[in-house]
Amino acid sequence: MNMSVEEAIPRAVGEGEAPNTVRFWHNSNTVVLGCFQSAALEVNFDACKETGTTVVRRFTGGGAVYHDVGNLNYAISLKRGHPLVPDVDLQLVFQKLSEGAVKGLRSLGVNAEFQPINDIQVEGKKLSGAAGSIRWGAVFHHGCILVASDLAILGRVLNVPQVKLAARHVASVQKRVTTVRDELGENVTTRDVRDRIVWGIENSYSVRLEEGTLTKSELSTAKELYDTKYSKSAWNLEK
Amino acid sequence: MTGATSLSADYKAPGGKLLRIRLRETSDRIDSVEISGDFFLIPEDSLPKLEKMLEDVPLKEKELKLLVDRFFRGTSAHALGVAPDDFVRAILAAKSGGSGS
Repeated sequence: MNMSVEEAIPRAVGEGEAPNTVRFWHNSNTVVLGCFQSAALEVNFDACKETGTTVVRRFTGGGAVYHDVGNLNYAISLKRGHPLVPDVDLQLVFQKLSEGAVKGLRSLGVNAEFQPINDIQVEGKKLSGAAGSIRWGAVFHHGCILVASDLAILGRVLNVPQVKLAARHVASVQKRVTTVRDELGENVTTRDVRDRIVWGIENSYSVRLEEGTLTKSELSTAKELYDTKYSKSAWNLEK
Repeated sequence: MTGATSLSADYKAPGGKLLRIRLRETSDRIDSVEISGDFFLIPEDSLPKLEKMLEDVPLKEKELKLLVDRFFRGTSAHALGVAPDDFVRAILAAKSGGSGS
């Protein structure tokens, strides 16, 4: 249901049925494909089977990511026209809406920097990737942060094209990514990182976040999206 | 009569994102093309329109460029990480048989 909720929230925010929202969430072992990616080209299905990794597709572009319980996902949905972000330039959306995460990570002691187009990096290694869209009357930005993820599984389940690795002068996807845990050299939980990102968002944008739950409308939309789209192999695998 | 041929290329755009082309052609015309990759394109549902528009187009730079330009003008689509000309270069890379950047 996670991908369904991810789409239901910006739809509700855009229609004015829900407030501007920041969502934090987890997945168990999952490859999440960008909406334009080919599952057959990007995913090592044998490795997925061996590691109990499922494959789903999100509604935004960008590249495939690997999620597990050591990964923290965040998503920001703003009603279109919000003064915080331009609503025509996705690059500026990524830059502006990554600021809170960067600030939160830096407050933990991680030397995080936004790296265009859509990454947060530490000394050239990717710590977080973002994706987003401008649709349904909303500006939407989501990112996944490698807190204590299993990079060995990540390296197995994703088929990163050689042309991408060559551009970064590395031999494997494992060598181009890092985790918050590895950067700090100590155990850190996704809850710790979430708390610092809440702080980073509040301080970057001069806002106060209030905890809440999904509205009935969002839950209903998510259920419908799950039944008609996100539970279907036609959506997840057949591109 | 010439049979259909399958062509493919992985093209790394200067903007940083990857275009992966899988196409079938007959007599230097596109029968069908699948464009995938880690780029961004808004609106997202415009990509199938581009793939459809490319059908029966000659595998020649001038014709491909005209078609891709028409797509971006006609749909007001915005790409990030790839430029309109990268779609042309990626398809031509498939024609010449391999990766490109």
